[in-house]
Amino acid sequence: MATRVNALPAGTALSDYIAGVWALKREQISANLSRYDWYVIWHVRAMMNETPPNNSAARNAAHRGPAFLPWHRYFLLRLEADIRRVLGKPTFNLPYWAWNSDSALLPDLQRSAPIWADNAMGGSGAPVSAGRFRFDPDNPEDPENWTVRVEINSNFQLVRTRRGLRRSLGSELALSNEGLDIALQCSIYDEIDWDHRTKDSLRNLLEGWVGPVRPATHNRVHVWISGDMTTAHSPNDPIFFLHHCNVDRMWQFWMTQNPDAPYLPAPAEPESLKWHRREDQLYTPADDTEVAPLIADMLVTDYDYDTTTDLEPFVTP
Amino acid sequence: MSHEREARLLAGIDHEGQHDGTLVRETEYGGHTVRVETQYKILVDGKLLQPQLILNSMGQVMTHAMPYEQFSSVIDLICRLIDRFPDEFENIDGTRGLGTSNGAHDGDKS
Repeated sequence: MATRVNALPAGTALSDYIAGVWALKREQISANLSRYDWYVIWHVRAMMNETPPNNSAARNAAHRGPAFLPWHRYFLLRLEADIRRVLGKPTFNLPYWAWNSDSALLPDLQRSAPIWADNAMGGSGAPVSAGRFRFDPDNPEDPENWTVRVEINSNFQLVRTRRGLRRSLGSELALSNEGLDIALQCSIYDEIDWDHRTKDSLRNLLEGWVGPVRPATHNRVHVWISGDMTTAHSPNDPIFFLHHCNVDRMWQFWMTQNPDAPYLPAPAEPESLKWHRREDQLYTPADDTEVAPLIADMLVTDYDYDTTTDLEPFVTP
Repeated sequence: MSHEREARLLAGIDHEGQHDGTLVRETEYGGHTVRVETQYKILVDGKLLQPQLILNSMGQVMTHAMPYEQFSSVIDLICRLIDRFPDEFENIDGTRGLGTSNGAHDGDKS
C-alpha cells in the first residue's frame, strides 16, 4: 500500500511534488491552457454547479455539502496520478502539509513556518517573489515564473489572466485548531440539512462552516493564506493540494476512529442531493476523458498516511 | 483541444442560476410558502458590480467567488471583494494590492 508522507522536513516528497506541478504547468492541453490550469477550471466549475440549482444554501457539487471530502479526495488522486505520469515515477505519493502543527505556533511563527521557506512553497507576496512559485513582473516572460493563467473575476466568471501568485499569510486572522477536536470527535459523517448549517457533522465541522470560530478548520486555512487561496480559483496556488491532503488525512483518521459510521446521504435521498449521495458520480468537467467514479468508490483507499499520532490528542478526552 | 472546446471549458456554462441581483429566501410555514425576494444594485465608484450573491435562510450572504467565507452584511462582503480582486479595483492613490478590509466574517471572534 502506498504511503503519503509529511511534506516536511523538505526532502524528496516535496521536491518531487514541486517538480510534478511544474511539469503539469508546462504540459499544454491547448494553446493557452496547461494540464495544471485544467485543475483550476475543474474546481471552479464544480463551484458553478449548484446542487440543486439556485439553492439558498449555496451547496455545489464539491463544497458546502456531503461530497466535500470525497470530491477533494478524487481531485487529489487525479493530480497524484498526473504527477506520477509526468515524472515517470509511479512511486510518487502526494505529501501533506500538517497545518494543524503550524496552528499551534504563535501567529508570527505561523507566517515563518518551514513550509513557507524559499526551498519549500515560498512565502507572501503580490506577486510571490521568492521560491519556486515566484513571479518577476519586470520579466513576465521568464520561463521560471509561476504564471496564473486562469482565474475568476468578482462576478464569478472564468477569465484568462497572466500574472503571479498572490499570498498574504496571516494578514487577516491567525491559524487555529479551535473546532478540530469537535470535528474529529463527531461520530456522524453528515446529516440534514446537508449543507453549511449542519451542526453535528464531521464534514461540515471539518469544512469549517460551524464551530467555535468562523471561519474554522479547512476554510480558515484558505483565509489565513489569503490572496488566491481565498477565491474559487484557489488551486492556482500549489499549497492547495498539500492543504487538502492534510484534510484528507484527517478524514482517513476519523474513519479509523469511526469504522461503523456510514457515508451519508444514502442513495435513496432526494434528487435535490444529486452529486452528494453515496452512489452518485463525482462531478468532473464535461471534457474529462475519464469516467468519474462514485462517491462510494472514495470510501476505501489504496494508500495510507505515515502517521496520525499528531491527531490523537484531538480525540482524547 | 480545439479553441471552441477550450472556450466552452472557460465559459462556465454549467451555471444557469439567476444573476440579476435578486436574492431569494424561501421557507415553508404552517402549510404556506414564504418567499422573500430582495433586489440589490451594487455600485463601486459608480461602476455596477454583479457578484453572484447568495443569501441563506439565516441571513448570511456569500458568493462562490469567495467560497470559504460568508458575511453578515452585503457591505462587508463587497469590502472583502475589493480586497480579493485587486486588479478590478484601483485604489484612490492609483495603487492596487491586497487591502485590509474590516469586513467581518460571520461569527468570527478572532
